[in-house]
Amino acid sequence: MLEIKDLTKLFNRVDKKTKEKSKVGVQNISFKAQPGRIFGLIGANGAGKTTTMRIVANLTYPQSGDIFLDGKNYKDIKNLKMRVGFVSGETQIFDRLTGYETIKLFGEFADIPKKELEKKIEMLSEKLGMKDFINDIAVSYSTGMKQKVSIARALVTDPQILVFDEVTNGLDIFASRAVKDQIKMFKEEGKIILYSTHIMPDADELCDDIAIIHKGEILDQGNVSDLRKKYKKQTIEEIFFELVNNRI
Amino acid sequence: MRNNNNMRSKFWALFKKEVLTITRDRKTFVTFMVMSVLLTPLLIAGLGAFQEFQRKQLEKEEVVIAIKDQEVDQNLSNYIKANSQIRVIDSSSFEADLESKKLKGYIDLNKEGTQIIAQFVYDQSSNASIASSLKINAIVQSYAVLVRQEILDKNNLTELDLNPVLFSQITLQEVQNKPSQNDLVLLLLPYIILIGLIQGAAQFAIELTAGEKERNTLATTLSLNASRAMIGISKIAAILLLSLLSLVLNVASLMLTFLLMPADAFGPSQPGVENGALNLNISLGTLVQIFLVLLPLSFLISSLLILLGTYARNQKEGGIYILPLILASVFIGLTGQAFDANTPAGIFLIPLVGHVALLKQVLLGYFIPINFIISVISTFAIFFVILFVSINMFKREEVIFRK
Repeated sequence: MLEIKDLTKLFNRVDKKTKEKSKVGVQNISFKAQPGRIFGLIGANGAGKTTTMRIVANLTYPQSGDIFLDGKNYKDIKNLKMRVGFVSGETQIFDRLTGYETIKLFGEFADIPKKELEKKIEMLSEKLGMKDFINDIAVSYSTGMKQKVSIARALVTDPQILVFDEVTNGLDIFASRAVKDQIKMFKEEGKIILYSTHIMPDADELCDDIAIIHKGEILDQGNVSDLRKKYKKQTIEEIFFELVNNRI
Repeated sequence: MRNNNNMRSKFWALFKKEVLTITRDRKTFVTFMVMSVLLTPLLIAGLGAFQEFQRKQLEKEEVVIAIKDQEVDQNLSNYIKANSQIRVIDSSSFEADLESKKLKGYIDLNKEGTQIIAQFVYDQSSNASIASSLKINAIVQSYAVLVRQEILDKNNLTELDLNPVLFSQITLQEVQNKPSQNDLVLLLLPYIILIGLIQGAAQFAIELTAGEKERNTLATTLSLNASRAMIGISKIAAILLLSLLSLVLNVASLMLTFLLMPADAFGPSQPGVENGALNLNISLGTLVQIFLVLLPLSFLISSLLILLGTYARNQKEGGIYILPLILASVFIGLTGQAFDANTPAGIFLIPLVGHVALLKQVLLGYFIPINFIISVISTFAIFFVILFVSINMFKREEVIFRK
């Protein structure tokens, strides 16, 4: 289980027009994500989703708060990055390397023996349907192909946690479907999945548990069906607006 | 031991990724290689060919002049008129005729005591007029030689009697049969080396840092199971390799330039010039010394470029940050002429300036170990400070993730 406890990370931001200073990021957020379930972090742009996801992926560090994986503090876990796979809609793959080289690079950094790594890449290539383009330089890839390589490089270390940050942004309908199907497959494999999005129908389709985040604070969280009952709403979008409008 | 090997192989993988990022941008990389080697020699060769073409065109043109006060030295006037390339016409208004291009110039003859003063007036705004000035000068000089010889014969004297003391110069290095450098090489080589080292690497440093931010691949790199120090150092190492490559290409370009330069560009009595052509007196030992001087500098420059590129939000901003460094290197590169074998040791503490001074000394055949050691210590001290700042910058999210 992944437990996020009182996480705070704030940045200074200056409004370009008004020159007003403000703090953005996340403040005292806590939630738990279980293996074999998809935990959705739902919020508008600038709500603090990416900051949270980057902290969980160990790309950036919190100012306060702790993260526990199976009861063990993140700070005490060696080679943490190998246990977390991070895929982001904004983050790109190295466009001057081939898909194979990118995945191999991540495998090498996870100390996977050469032969085993080659087998793994072969398996991922088969699983994600990358055989036709894996040896081409990524500059020629479509957005969907790039996203497949992104997922493969996150999976090559066989991580316990998969962090998907706005992964369907900008994808066409086919690529978006393929990515969502893969996420469902990883859920079946028992991985801890964090999925951030502002696309509410995607959240409805994928998430088992959610937290609604707004201006760096979690407004409410829980099992999706429990939240539907609690707010007497059919969709996550309706719950989101109910919570956010109450705040405004 | 196994841990060390592991670290090394990870560093190598990261370094390879950075080098591939640069070299797989084929168009940019090939343009960089070709332009580094060929641009200067082609420009020089082109300029030489253009000048030669212009000279020939001007030679074909008829030189029409007038002579003011011909009676001052009728013999000289007749000598000029006898030359088939010159047509002397009469003029009543010399300046007006020159201005209206009727004349290419006119000679104003005067006499001071026994000396004839022939002043050629030409129009600076006309290339043909400038060229005719050179022609007239050659004719008047040849006339002066004839008159001089007549005087010598009349008085039963020789040239030697008029020039009892002959001054010439030779370098100590030539006396000792040591390699002697041409002044142009001494001025240009440290300059070209410095520019080559910085300019070639600059664009790629921006590409690997601000370019990664722009392409949204920096977060991907950071998600590798590697320390930020290793990520930063691998980028510096890739830039180090490219700055050395750029350096080699620029020196090759310089050598090619000298080969294509017109032989008379160096003058007949210049050191380092044999039979009118430049002889680059750079032995293998000198090359090794140049490399030793430049290696610490390459470390320093690579780290500085990565630091500036990392701070930049995008490639455009990175280019602006690096511009002052390139401009500074242009000026510092030209300070080489101020240094010699006796340059005070304090100069070697200053990066770039000290390296130019060291290069000048090496080219002069003076490799002074204490100066080299001072430079190495100073350069690496600054390098480690910049490295420390660069690595810390990689840890600062407001820098890494700012857009």
